[in-house]
Amino acid sequence: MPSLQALAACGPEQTSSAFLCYLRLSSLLVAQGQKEKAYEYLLAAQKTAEEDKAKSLLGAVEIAIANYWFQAGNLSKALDHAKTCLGFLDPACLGSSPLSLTSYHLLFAECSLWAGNVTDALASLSLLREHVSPSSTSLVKESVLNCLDSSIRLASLYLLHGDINAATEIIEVAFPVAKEKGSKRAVAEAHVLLALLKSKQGHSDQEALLTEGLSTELADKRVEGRLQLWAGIFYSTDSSNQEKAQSHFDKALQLSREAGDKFTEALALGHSALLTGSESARTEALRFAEELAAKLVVTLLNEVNT
Amino acid sequence: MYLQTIEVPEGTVLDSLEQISAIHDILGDKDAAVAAFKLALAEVRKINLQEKPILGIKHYYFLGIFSVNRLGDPVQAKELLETAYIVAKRMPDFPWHSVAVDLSDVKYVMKDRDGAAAQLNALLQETNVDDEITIKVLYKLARIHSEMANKSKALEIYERLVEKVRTSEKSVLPEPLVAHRVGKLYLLTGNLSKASHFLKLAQSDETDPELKSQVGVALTAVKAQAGERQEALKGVEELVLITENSITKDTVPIGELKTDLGEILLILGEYNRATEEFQKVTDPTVINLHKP
Repeated sequence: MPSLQALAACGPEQTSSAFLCYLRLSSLLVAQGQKEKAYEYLLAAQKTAEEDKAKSLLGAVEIAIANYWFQAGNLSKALDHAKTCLGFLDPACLGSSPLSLTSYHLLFAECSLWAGNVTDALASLSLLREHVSPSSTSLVKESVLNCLDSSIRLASLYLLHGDINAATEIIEVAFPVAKEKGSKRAVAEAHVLLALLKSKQGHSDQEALLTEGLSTELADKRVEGRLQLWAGIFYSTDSSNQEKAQSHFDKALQLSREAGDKFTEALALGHSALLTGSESARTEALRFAEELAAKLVVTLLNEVNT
Repeated sequence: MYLQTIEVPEGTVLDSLEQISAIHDILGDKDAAVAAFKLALAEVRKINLQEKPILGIKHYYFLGIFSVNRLGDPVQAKELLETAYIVAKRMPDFPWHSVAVDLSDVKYVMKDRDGAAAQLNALLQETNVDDEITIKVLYKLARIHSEMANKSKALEIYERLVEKVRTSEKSVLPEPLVAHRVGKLYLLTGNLSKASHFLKLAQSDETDPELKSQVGVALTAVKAQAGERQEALKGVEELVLITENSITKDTVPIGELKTDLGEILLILGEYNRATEEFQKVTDPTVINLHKP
């Protein structure tokens, strides 16, 4: 899910208040599922940027539009706008600004992963690994919260890709920082991700960590839906916990539908179908993933089937 | 008729037409101001610039500045100022630098940032440019680079500017204002120690309530980005009090403060509060958000 923090740390130096507000409101509202209102704000921001012609504003709008289409479930449009945004990127803004390479690569990597363009995704992911760690020696190390949020999102992308070791390395660095300084959301995500990754590496006794992460009320259905999905995957590999896994997948489905998060919904449908072994559920999940052009899920369902 | 009956020194008619245009503009009679301006425009084109360059520069310059500042016509202004600039630059020892700065301003107003930057860069290559002009040039150039999404270049120029302001006896910009700009830009690029250093320099000015509040916001944003959550939240609450203070409302732009407040709340993961602050800024029914 695109991190709002990645878009958070102020905009171009002399941006008007109205422009920034339109941009931020569009990101916040689309994340809450209010797509129509979000699009109105996006158009208002775009109009301002086009009138002003400053590259910094045009770039900020393009990445916001890419973010909008991703959240609306349209990978093709999201990738198109992300590529346009690349022309406006400011290499000096690693990690902190809406125009940062970090924001772009996180969004581009996520869209590419869902679309099944693994090579593209990995190019961005490996570049991100060099820059966003909270313990990195790069310029951005001081912007702890931005790095932390980017790290958590990066770890979740490596998890989606299936590189458990890379994801674990990143989240192990981020986890203590999250506990000490992070927002409620960062703390919850770091707990759940660490628990899932550790269990995938064969470490037992991770349930307490998972439960602690899930117990936080976030008032953000998109994030909560994703956490429930990770929890479902956590339990699904244990034959004695199949009911718990299904319960978490069901919650993930409900929350992602309420939040309009189609990719989490697709993955939850896919994992749920694999858990039950139902051919009709698999067919339904496959149809939904194909409609979204989410090849990541299509591949998951087909691989297991073969 | 006036011209035919009385002999006056060259330029007197132009002077009068310019004054008439200015007076009509001040009195709010835009049509009369434009009419007089057009007559002045016709007169200025009669000047033989080879023979009377100083007279030409004076009037082309005046009319250029008048058309952009008072009549809102940057296209006309650009043509007039370009003529003044070309003539002025041809003359030995003529102080043409300020004409070049004004011409870059007009290009900037016309959204021709590349053209404006080229004009300013050319000035920086000149020797014997007055400190006052150099400071203006650096400030404008840094702003353009920042808007052109070239923050590293903007920072390089801003740092030069800080040094120039500090060492010059003729600074046209107060050091705290420049330090605030530099600090804010470092904040945007994620270099928090440098941001903090320059913002603390900017804190030395206690007399400007707008700058004081902007520096306060930026320092709170530094704390938020550094993960000093409690400190940042404390700063947020202080900012909320400022935005609700009736005296402050008359001295600082509350809309900008609320926007910055929303940005900090976003960094802290306080999405609902951030949404509320942003919505207040875009809500046309909320008054006192912007300076009159």
